[in-house]
Amino acid sequence: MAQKGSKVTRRQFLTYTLTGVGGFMAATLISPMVNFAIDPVLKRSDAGDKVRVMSLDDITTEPQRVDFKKQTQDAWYEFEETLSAWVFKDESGEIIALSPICTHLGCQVGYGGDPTRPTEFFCPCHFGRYTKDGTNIPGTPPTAPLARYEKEEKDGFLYLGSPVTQL
Amino acid sequence: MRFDSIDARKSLTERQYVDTLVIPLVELAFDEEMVRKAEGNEVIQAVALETERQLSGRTMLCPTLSYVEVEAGATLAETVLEKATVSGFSHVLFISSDVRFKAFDLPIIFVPPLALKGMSGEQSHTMVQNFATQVITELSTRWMAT
Repeated sequence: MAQKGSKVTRRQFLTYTLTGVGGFMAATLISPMVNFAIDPVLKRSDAGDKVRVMSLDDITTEPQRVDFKKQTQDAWYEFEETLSAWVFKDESGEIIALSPICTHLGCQVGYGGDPTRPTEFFCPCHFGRYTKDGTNIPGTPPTAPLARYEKEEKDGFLYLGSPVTQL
Repeated sequence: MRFDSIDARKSLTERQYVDTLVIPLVELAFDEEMVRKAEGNEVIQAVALETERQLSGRTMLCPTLSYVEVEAGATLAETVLEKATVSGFSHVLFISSDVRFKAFDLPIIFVPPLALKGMSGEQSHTMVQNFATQVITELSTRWMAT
């Protein structure tokens, strides 16, 4: 009686080998195709989109304006876009990054821009007003609150992504 | 807003909201003075763009008016001012680095011709922000007054 291994016949050995080699060849062809097919998904999940804007230590309860640059793509044309955010901590200590784009016609609001209302955001264009947390004040032109940036706190710095419209 | 077809159409339909025109006024030269004029142009363009970015809902940025002789420049500016006012732009503001315009009765904000390229990114950013803030404050004051 020979060892167990000898139970593999010549025919079986050839079948296994050919299947294995064939599998490798198929994989070589298919894996890049799969890669191409799901490429858009891979790209979007690449969340390296966020830009480092400021040190977490510098964030206070008083909104501060920060400007940062971000690579943006408009169809095939890639350019650097300057963005601004108003960053502060709310009462519960959570960091809030508001987009300064007025939801009325797109001017930039300023915190305390109207000296008589130092704790509100004020749009100089058509006198729109928002409370400190970005809620539009009824009776002024804007009809929606200020957008908030997607944010991430990492290694002591604040990273901001795209502004998200608030409802 | 910019002077392109989309924004132009919008500005016509929303004229009661878009009533302000910002116009860069740039002196040209083609001799040794060219560098200095180009520096002036850089500051003016940067300030004008930043102003438009912050006030795009009420402000249209006009294409640059350029001139070689200051009198001709002033005449051109006056003509544009008149046309724009007649068409409903109730606030028109020129941005220039040429102080000789002080002799003319034009609504101008002056920015100095600085060598932005010689500064660090941060420095030039702060500089442009400061000038843009001056322009924005001037416009806000005018808007508040009406």
